[in-house]
Amino acid sequence: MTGSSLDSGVVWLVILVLGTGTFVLRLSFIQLYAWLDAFPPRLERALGFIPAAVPAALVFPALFPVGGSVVDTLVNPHAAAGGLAAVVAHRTGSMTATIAVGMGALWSVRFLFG
Amino acid sequence: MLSLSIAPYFARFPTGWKWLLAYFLWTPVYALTLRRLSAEPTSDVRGFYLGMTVPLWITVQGSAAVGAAFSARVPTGPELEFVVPLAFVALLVNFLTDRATEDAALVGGVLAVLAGGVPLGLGVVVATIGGTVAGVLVAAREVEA
Repeated sequence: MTGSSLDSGVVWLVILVLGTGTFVLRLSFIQLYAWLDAFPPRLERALGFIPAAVPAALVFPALFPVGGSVVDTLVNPHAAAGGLAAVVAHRTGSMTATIAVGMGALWSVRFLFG
Repeated sequence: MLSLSIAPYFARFPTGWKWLLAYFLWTPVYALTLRRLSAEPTSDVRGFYLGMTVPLWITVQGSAAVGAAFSARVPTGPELEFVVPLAFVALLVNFLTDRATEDAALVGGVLAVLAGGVPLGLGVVVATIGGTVAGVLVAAREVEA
């Protein structure tokens, strides 16, 4: 923590605001759902797809970086390692094995292809 | 998004409990809780959820302290941050139970890549909504067919 120009009061304020904001976001729908008497059944069915869509939306950008060509986006070390990890996850259901194989694959690709 | 999708399961708890549970709404905990509920709908949601979050919370605080103290000495070469997407890969695979959930994930993922430049992480929100809508449409078509 050397050379910091930020006043520690400002830092604490930022931490407080970010923490509160995160909490309010997390609470938002849990509380809102309780206040509503009837939740539209159609919307309730749609909720079932969120557990699949959220992790996908978090994973894909890490595996398919944009900026280069389309081929660069689709074929790269992260995509290869992530794809192999997905196969391991599907076969074993083990998170430890998934992470181990994924990291091993990433390092192998980096080692072999620079 | 996580808050909305887990809300029905927390609806029956008193407000104080809701607030406490909301504080711990982390993606992995959320994902494992929903997987548990799909396997055993009658299980004790609150106990299962807190059983994961309390030890995790302690670990997170401890790890954050260690990270704050030693982060400058950790080499950046081996791309250790790639562990995070890999963990989400493992979570994601669990929720691909049929054609509609697969399409929801595919559309959500592709949209998230395309919306990478959107600020404040709102790209993920847009992508999740798009993926969810895709899942609903595919499921509706399957019912018709």
